[in-house]
Order: sequence, then C-alpha cells, then structure tokens
Amino acid sequence: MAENGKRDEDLDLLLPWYVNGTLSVEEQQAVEAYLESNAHARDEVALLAAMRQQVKEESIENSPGELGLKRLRREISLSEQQAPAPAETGKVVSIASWWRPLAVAACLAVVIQAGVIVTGGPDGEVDTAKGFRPAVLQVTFAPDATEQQIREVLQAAGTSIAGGPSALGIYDLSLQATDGGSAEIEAALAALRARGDVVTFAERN
Amino acid sequence: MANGDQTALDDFYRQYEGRVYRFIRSKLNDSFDAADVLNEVMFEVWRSAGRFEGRSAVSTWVLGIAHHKAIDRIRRRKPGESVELDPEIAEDDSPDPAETLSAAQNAEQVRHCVDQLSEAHRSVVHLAFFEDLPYGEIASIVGCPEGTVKTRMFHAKKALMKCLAGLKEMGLL
Repeated sequence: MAENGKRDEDLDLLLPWYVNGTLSVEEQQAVEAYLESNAHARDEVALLAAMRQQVKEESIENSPGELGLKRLRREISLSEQQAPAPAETGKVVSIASWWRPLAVAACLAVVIQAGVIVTGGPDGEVDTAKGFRPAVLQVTFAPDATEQQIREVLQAAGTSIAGGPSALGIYDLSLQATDGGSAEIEAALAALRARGDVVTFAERN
Repeated sequence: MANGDQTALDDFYRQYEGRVYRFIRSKLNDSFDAADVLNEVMFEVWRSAGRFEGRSAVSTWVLGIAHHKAIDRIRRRKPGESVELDPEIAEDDSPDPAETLSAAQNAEQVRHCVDQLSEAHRSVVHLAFFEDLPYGEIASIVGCPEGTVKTRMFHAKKALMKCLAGLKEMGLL
C-alpha cells in the first residue's frame, strides 16, 4: 500500500514532462497506466497542458536583436585590444613562442600612442591604426552618480571610457563609432550634457 | 568560433539570442538587466567556445551559462541576500485542478502567477513548458540533481494553482 503511494507520488512528479512529451518510453507507459486509473491525475494533466500553452504563447518585449550583436562586437573588439584572441587563451605555450609577439605588440602600442600625440589636431581627430579610437571628449561625473547611471549615459552618448580618472577626476572618452566625425562628437557632447545629474562637465578633448 | 571566427559568432548569436534572452528575462523579470546579462553570456560563449567539449547539446551549454550569469546578477542586485533555491510551500490546502483549469486558460493571469514564483521555480517552469526540455537536461542547465528539478516543478505547480484559484475567488477571472 505504502509502496503504491510512493509510486503514485513519483508518477505525479513526472506529469509536467508527460505534458511536454519528453519522457522515456518506459516512463510514458507508466504514466499512461496511472492516468487510466486516476481521475485527479487526469485533471492535473489538463491543467498543466493549459499552463504550458499559456507559457508558450506569452508575448514579451523584443530581445535586443541586431543592436545587441553590435554591442557584443564592440565589446569583443575592445577586449581584444587589451588581451589575446580567444583561440590563444587556455593554450599551453612555451615562453620562447610568446614573448616575441608580445614584445612586438608592446612596441607597436608605444608607436601608436606616440603617433596619436604627435599627429592629434585641435578637434582630436587623428589618424590612427585601424580599430584604435582616440579620446575626443573629457568629462567629470557627479560624486553621487552610480555605476548604472554612468553606464546608461555613456551608452546613450555612444562613448566609452578611454582614460582617467586624472587627479581632478577627469575621464577621457572615445566615440564607439570608429569614424566619428565632428557632428558625432557634438551629438555625443549634447547627450552627455543632457544628463546634468550624472555628468557635471563635458568638453572636447 | 573557437578559432576567433566572428562570422560564426554572428550566426550563433542570431540563432540563440532570442531563446537565451527569454530565459534570462524569465529569471530576472527585468528587460534592461536581461539585455545586459545576454551580452555577458554571449561574451562568455565567445571567450570559452574552445573549451566546449560537446558533452551536452549546445543549447544546454549556453542556457547553463545564462543560468549562472543571471544568478550572479541577482546576487549583485541584492547584496547580502541569498538566492532562493527551493522554498517550501504549504500544499495542504491545494485547490482542485479541475476548478483552476479555466483560470489556467487565461494568459494574463498565468503570467501574473508565474511572475509571483521564486526565480528557481520560474526557471524550471520556463525550461519545461517554453523550451520543452526533459528534466535531465534542465538539471544540467541549473546545476542540480534531477530529483530537485522534479520537486521544484511540483512546488511551482502547486503555487500556480493556488495563485490562480485566488484570482478566481477574487472575481478577476
């Protein structure tokens, strides 16, 4: 008797997966035999099927879609400027095989930075290596601004933190669009200044 | 993708982002946070694709990453609070399934009641009823024994029935 009770409890636990059709053949046959003799279990199956139908048909707001993909690509690109490609991670390599490219990359970074300093114009529009984004704006944030607020403002303005903070709390920002021109810089400035509760100062670099 | 092929990442993203977003959204109940966590998940997929050994389905792997990232987000949201894993629910006064059937046919009310569930229960309901996954695969995704998945679903069902019966009693149906 107690064994039957335990068996019924076990079969009750399987009902949701009977409804979604993923039980093994053996389990399915056991549940079907149980349902034949148990009206309460049949009612539960009808209820679970109705719930499943509603969960499936529930409409929620759209996912980020292509905008999310752009954001992902941008973050991957930024991370790859600072770290080795994913194919390289986790591999065991000898010192002899990695120090040379690392040294070359370090030298290249110095050369690029020097190039930016030497060739930078008054508007911060400079010729750079592909993918490198110059700092074109400077901002300070309100002392009580939260990380979330700062993130929202930077994303809305299409900017990323490129440097800082300085001793005075000034951050350098770059435009996320690689070929941001003067109009884009002005648009980003306007977006930053529109959030005076978060950004206390925003100017061209 | 393991070789750094961005086209493969684009294809992967387009194939899975809707499902992954929906799963995260069901756990977090917040579209803004869900979009953020989706980005973290896809970034992790990109970084760790080389370590995927194919022992599980790709969807199980990516939904498992999504589960852990969403739990991290919940913990950050509520510092000091633990994530509710499997709360006990009083079941002695469970309503009759036949009486709550009409309530379960109302999408708005079902959604309201699903939203009232704990994160752990919502996840199992979503994976069982939206994704139509077997309990073994759900256990792999949420990282718990199969028996726990079954009991979570059992408690979730009881809580949903109670909620729907309550709405019916209040004349909201």
